[in-house]
Amino acid sequence: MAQLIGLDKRRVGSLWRLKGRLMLRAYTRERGRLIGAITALLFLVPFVLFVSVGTALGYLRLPPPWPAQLLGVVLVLLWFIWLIFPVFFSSLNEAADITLLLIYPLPRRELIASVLLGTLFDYPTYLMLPLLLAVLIGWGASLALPVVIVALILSYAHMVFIGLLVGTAFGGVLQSRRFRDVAIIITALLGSSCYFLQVGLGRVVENLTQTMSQEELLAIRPLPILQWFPTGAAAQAIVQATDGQWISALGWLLYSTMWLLLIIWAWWKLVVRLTTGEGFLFNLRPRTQAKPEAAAARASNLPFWLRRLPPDIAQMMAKELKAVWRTPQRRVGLIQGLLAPVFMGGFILFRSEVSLSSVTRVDFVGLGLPLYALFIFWVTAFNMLGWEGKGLPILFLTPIPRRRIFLGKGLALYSVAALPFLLVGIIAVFLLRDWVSLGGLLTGLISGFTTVGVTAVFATLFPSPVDKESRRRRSSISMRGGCLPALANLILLLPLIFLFAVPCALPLVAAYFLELPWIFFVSLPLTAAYAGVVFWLSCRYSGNLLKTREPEVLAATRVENPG
Amino acid sequence: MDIPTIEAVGLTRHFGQKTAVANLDLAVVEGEFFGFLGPNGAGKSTTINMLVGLLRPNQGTARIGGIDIWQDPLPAKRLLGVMPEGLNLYQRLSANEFVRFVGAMYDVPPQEVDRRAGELLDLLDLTEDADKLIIDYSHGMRKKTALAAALVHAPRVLFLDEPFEGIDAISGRIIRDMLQQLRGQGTTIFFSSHILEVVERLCTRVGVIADGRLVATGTIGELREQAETGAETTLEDIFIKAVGAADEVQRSGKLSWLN
Repeated sequence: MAQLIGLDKRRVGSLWRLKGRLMLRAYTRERGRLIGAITALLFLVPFVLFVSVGTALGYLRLPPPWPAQLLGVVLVLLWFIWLIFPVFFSSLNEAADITLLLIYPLPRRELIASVLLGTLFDYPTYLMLPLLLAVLIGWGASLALPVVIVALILSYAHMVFIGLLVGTAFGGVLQSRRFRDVAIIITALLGSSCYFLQVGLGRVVENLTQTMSQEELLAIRPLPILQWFPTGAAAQAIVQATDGQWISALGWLLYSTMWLLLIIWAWWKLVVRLTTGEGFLFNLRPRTQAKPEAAAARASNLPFWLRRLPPDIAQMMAKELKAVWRTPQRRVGLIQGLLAPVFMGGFILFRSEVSLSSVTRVDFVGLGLPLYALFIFWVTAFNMLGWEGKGLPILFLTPIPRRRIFLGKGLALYSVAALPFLLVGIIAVFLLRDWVSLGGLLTGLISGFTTVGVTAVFATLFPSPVDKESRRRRSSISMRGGCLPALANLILLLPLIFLFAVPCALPLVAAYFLELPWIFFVSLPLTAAYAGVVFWLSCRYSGNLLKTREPEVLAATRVENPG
Repeated sequence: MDIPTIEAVGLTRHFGQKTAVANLDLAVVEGEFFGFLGPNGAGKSTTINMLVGLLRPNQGTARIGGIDIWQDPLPAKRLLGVMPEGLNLYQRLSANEFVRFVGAMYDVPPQEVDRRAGELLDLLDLTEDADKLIIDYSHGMRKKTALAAALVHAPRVLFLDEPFEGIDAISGRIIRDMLQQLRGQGTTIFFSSHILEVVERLCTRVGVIADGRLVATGTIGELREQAETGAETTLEDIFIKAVGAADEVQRSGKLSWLN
C-alpha cells in the first residue's frame, strides 16, 4: 500500500516513531505534566463513558424528535471541541511542528502521511470514540446502518482535519511567546472562574425554565441550525436515512463531504505554503520597536513618582514593576487577586436568598478588607527572589547593599498589590459610606507593609524556583523547591503574617466593638509607624541574611529542565 | 570554467518594508571553503535559509549542484548538509537518536548510520552524553549534535551557520580538522562566522554582506587589494572597511566618561 502511493516505509516509520517518542517524553520528562494527564484522564474517561451511555440511552429511549436533536448537538459539539483542540495541545508535541523537517529531502506526501499517522498519538482523539460508538448503538440497528457508518467516518475525519487546519494555520501564533503569555492568563482565569461560570450557567438555565413554558421548551429544535455545520450535516443524514428518506440522506452526506474536501484542500494549501518556505498563514507581528533615540531617552528617565527616591532603590522598583507586568504568571496572580472579591460577591449574589441590600447592611465588608489585603499582599510578594529567575545572579553580582534590594522590591510589590486593593476598597467605601469600610481600607493599606516585610524574610530563607517558560500557571506555593520551603511557607508564613498584622488591625477591631471610631483614627499614626518599622527591619534582616546565603539562594531558585 | 556548486542569482527577500537581502549574486565552486561574513542583521542567515530551501526568496534563483532548489527541492536537498541558525533539534531526543533519525531521512542504510553516528559522536566528544536528552545539553553540545546530524549522510555541500560560536577550543580544533578533511574530499563548505581568525585560517574565499548587499568577495589576498591595504592588514580591518564601518568604529571606540 505504502509503495503504491509512493511512500518510503522506512522514512515514514521513522517519522511516526519520532512523533510517538516525543509525545511520550513530553510526559515522562515532566512528572507534573504526567500527573496532570493521569488526573485529567481519571476524570475524563468516566465522564466520557457516562456521557456516551447517557447519549446512547437518549437516542434509544427519548421520544421523537429529541434523539435527532441530541445527535446533532453531540456531533457539532465534538467538532467545536476539535476546532480548539490545537490551541491547548500545541505545546505538547514538538513533532507536530513540521517546519523542523523542511530541511530534509522529504517528499510532501511523506510529510503529510507522517502528520496523519501522527494523529493516532493524539490520545484525546480516543476520548471521542465512545461517543461515536454510542451513535452507532443508538442509530445503527436499522437499515440506515451503512449511512450511520459513513456519517461517523466523515465526522471522525472532520474532527481530525479541522484540528490539523487550525494547528497549521495558526502555528506561527501558537508557537509565539505572546500567545503563550495570553494562554497562561486565559487558562488560569478560566480555572479560577469555573465555579462562578457553573453557578452562573445554573442560574441562566433556572431562569430559562422559569420564564419559558413547557410548550416553548419542547418546541426548541437545534438541528435545523446545526445541520449546516459539517458534522451537523452528518447527523441530519443519519436522521433522514432512519426515516427512510434516502435521497435526502445522500444529499446531506454529500454536503458534509464537500465541507470535508474544502477543509482538506485548505489544510493542503497551508502545508504546501509551509513546505515552500512561505511560513505559517497567521503570525504575530513583532512589536514595533521604539526608535533608538527615544529608547535611550526613556531609559534615562524614571517615572516622576520614583525620581525622589534614592536612584538604586528607584531603579530596583522600576525593574520590579516591569517584571511583574511582563511575566504572565504574575499578572495572573494580580488579576485573580482583583477578581477574588468579584467572585466572592458573585457567589453571595447568586445565592437566591441573599440580596445586594442585605449584603451592604452588614459591616463585615469593612472588617473583611484587612483580610483581603493580607491575601493580596502575600500573593504578590511571595517568593520575590524566586521570581527573579535568571536575573538573580546578575543582581547578586552588583554591589548594591542587600537591604536596598528588598526595599526596592518590597516597595514595588507593595505598590502593585495596593492598586487592586485600593480599587476594591474605594468601591466598598463609596457603596457603604461608613467609617468601618474606610477603616478597613486604611488598615489593609498599612498592614500591607508588614505582610510584604515578613514575606521578604521568608523569600530569603525558603526560596523556590519558578519556571517562567512554562505555559502553566504555577500555584503560589510550589513543590519544585522541595518539601521544606513548601511546608515552611504553608505552616509558618501565613500565621506569622497574621501575627505581625494584628497590631495594625487592633485599633479598628477595638473601635468597632467599643463603637468609638475615634480610637481608630487617633491610633492611625502609631499603626502606620509600626508597619513602617516592621517593613524596614524586615528588609534589613533579609538583606543581612542574603549576604550569607547568596549561593544557597541561587541554587534553590535554579530551574532544572525548563519546559 | 567550473560549474558552481552553490549559485545565487539576484536573490532578494523583503520582510514587510525591510529588505533583508537585495539582489545577491554569488557562486561557490566545488571543493571551496567559502566564508560568509557580515555584521549582525546584515542578512547572512536569511541568505543561507534561501539557499537551503527554508525561506522562499521574493526574487531570484538559488541552485545547489546546478539544481534550482525552489523548482526541484528534493534532489537539491539530498546534496545538502545544513546546520541552521536555530539548530533545528528535537529537544526530547538524545543525540544518538537524533543523528540516527536524520540518517534515516537521507536514506543512509541503518548499519551505516550506526557506524557513522558512533564515529561522529565519538569524535565530537559526545559519546558519554549520547543517550541524554538534548534538552539537558549545553549550548556547545547542541551545536556539536547539530553538526553531527549535518554530516551523517556525507553531504556534497555543507552549510554551517555560526558553527564555532560557543564551542570550546578543543572541539573547535577537532571541527576545523574535520571540515578540512571534508573539503579535501571535495565537499563544498559554506559557512558564516563572526570569528574572523577562523575564517582567515580556513577559507579559500570570503564574501562580505552588509545591509543585505554583497559588498566584497574574493580570496583574502584579493580583498586586501580591493581594500587597498597592505599585506600586514588583518581580515578584521578589511571586513570593517568593506562593510563601511571604519568611521563608526573610529567614532564610537572612545567612551567620553572614561577620560
